Amino acid sequence: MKCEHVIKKLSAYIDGELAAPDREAVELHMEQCSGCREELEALNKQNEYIKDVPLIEPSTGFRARLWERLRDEKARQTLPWPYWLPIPAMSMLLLIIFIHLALFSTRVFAKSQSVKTGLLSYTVEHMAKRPNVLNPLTLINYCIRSHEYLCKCAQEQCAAEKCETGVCALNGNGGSNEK
Amino acid sequence: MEEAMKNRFAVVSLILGILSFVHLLGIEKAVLSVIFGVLALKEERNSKTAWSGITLGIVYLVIITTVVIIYFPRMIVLLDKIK
Repeated sequence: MKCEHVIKKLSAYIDGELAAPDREAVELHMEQCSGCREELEALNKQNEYIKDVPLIEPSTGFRARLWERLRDEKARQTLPWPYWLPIPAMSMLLLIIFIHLALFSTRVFAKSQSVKTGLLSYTVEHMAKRPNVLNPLTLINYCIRSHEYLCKCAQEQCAAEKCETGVCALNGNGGSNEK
Repeated sequence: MEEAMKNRFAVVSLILGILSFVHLLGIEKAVLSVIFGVLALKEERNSKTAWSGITLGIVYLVIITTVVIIYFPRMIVLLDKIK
């Protein structure tokens, strides 16, 4: 048995709690190891000092106060539900964003190659080539340009008089407002 | 306690390492600010820093959602008209 294992068992050895094989192994080790003997003596001395210390009687209501503080500590670690509200709020906003993106992207993939290429060029231009420090401005710029592009495509194909959604400045002259 | 903190930092490090490869218009950073803000509230409920982080993250997400709600349905209408 190694010293570290013996030292771990010394307290149980002093209290007489070790099983016979362990007790014999500890005693055998003690005969050969002076360091562990010194450790045992030190523990015995500590026990004697502790025996001389007078018992302290807890004040009245000590146990009740202790349990109350433990309950308070447990309650402090559990966050009440209003503090969790940002998480469902955030999830709701993310859901709205991803539903719109999913609806938009499925329709884009169903369109002709020219429409997809045009939208891709705007996407690359606004999201990759010229990134804005402020992300919302990048997104707004991208939305405006993409909307104008789609409006032009719709006017060319449907011969519409003006912008169908009333957002962009295009007025049905075959894309002369294209920048 | 110290070991638990090390593990938390390891998880944060892993998440940020993964997110450094992607850019979702800053949504990923807003989400992280809200999540870590709420986790910070577990330690200290009146932390102004945590509340500021949560507020900024939510405000950012509200702005992005508003822009998406304004423009994307209109673009979807236009896409439906294009062959």
